Amino acid sequence: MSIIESLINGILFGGTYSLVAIGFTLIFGVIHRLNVAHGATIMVSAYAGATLTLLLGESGYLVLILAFLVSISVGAGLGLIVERIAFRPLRGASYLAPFITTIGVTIFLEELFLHLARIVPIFYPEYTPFHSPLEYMGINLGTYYIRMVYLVIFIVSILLMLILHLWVTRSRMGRAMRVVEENPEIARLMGIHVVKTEVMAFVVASALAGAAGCLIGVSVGTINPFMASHLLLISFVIIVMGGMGNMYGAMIGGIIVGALEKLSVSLLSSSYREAILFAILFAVLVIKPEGLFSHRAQKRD
Amino acid sequence: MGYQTTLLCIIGFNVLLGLSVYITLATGQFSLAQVGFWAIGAYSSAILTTIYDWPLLPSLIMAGLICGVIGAGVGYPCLRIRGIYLALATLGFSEMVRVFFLNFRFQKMVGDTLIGPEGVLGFRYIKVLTEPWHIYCMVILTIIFFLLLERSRLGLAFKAVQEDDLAANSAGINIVFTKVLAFSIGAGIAGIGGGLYANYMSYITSQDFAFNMTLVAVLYVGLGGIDSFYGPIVGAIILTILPEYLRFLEEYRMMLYGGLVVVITIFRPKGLIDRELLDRLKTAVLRRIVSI
Repeated sequence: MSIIESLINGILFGGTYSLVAIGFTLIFGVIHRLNVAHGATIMVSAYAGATLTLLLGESGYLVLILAFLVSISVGAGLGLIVERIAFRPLRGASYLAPFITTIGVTIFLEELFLHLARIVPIFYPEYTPFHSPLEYMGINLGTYYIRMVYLVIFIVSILLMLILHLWVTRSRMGRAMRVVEENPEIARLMGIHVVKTEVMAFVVASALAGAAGCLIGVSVGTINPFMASHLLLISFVIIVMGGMGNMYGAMIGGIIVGALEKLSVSLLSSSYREAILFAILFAVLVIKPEGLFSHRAQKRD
Repeated sequence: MGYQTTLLCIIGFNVLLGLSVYITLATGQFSLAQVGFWAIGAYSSAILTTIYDWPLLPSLIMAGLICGVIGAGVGYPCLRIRGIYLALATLGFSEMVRVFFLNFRFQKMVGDTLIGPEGVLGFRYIKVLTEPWHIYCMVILTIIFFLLLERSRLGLAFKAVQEDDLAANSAGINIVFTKVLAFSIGAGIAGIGGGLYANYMSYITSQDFAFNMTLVAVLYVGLGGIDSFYGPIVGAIILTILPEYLRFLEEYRMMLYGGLVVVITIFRPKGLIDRELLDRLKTAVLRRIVSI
């Protein structure tokens, strides 16, 4: 695989990383807590989408779109539940407490799906397939071969990001969310329902995670209960690079990390690619904690 | 070795891991680097005992020292950041260490076999030198250390830095020294724990020290409580025994484990052993003594 080809594929696949990281950073921006269960949300939504394709037993485009919608709605629903269980009771507690509860939720969901994968007849214990009509399609751009899935992923991700951008800048709710991000006290004085806004942030972030789960499942072709733990680590790197809570930083960061990852695979041995990512994570946090793309100095705790 | 003994050993390891997270947290630094130090300690001690034929104790001291020095090296740049930012940076360190050992090859002929860390395949045929009592001794020594620390000026300095480092600084406490020292001690404890672990298991791979272990280490401390060092001890003991007691649930036990973690944290967000409970216990004990 040539360098340019891997670069193109990396950038295209990076769209999913952006989606995951945006959701993550959105929640961090509003409540300043890490949602470790974000990874489990991705996994559960991917299973929801795959279940639909397996039940319908065929892989047309309509089924794929339906599966995508199912993934998004399951993600959003799960976001509601996670907020209610793991965050709402702990408002005002230290940042350690929601960290613990979301780890608990993650363990619960991973074990639940490990169990379901064994007993539900349509699932497979090791890897459950996620069929799509895009599976073996690709296009040739000159000498470069690009997987159709990657192209679709990129377009869908960009569309979702555009919708998100419009929502955050134009809609009442989105703008309220930015005020809460800036300062919850003032937001309350302005008559913004802070709790409702936080719930909304969870729903939107988790819906994006659901979309990412479906896209990743389709591109890899199989899903398993632990598919997202690696993704969680990668999105830590992305949100740190882009600046914690910075949505646009996460968009660019995701694409950069996607490109870096595929590039380092073709240039170096594959096991070093993670070392590079984590070196970036450490260096950015120690040298420029506000992120690479932001000039606004942020509070460091 | 019996089931009870093995379980006690594992509890011992987990208590050490929990305490090493706690000591860093005792100066207000939430570090996820402990698993990285655990891995460094495990590999360096195993190399010393197995390849260079060192006895266990010197290899453990060496592992502790190596980790202590690296800990100071990691802790110093991390002084600039705190809270979740610090947690993520130190998580980055742990993962770098894991990937390093994933690619680490260092093999020598010992006798007539080639022995040493072998990249992805891990480190096999480590000499089994750790006896259960070694682990218990280390746990007891660490607890004694914490008891002494609590009563010392240094312990007070730790507490002051945890409460408010600015105020501590103006009271004449050297925060840089205190925080880096706490980081270093935590790394040292993790290193010794790792060394004991490697020479107990006889086989380690980089995958043993992955993200999951980091999450579990945080669970011990978070669930146990961070107000005193009893918290992580109780947390580690409960979370190690709990899956054993839930064995009758078979496949559902880890689900229940996750659920219980959530429920306990919701009802006791400061951990099982918080200051209130400690104070109540203390007055109860004092009253008992007075009435005698």
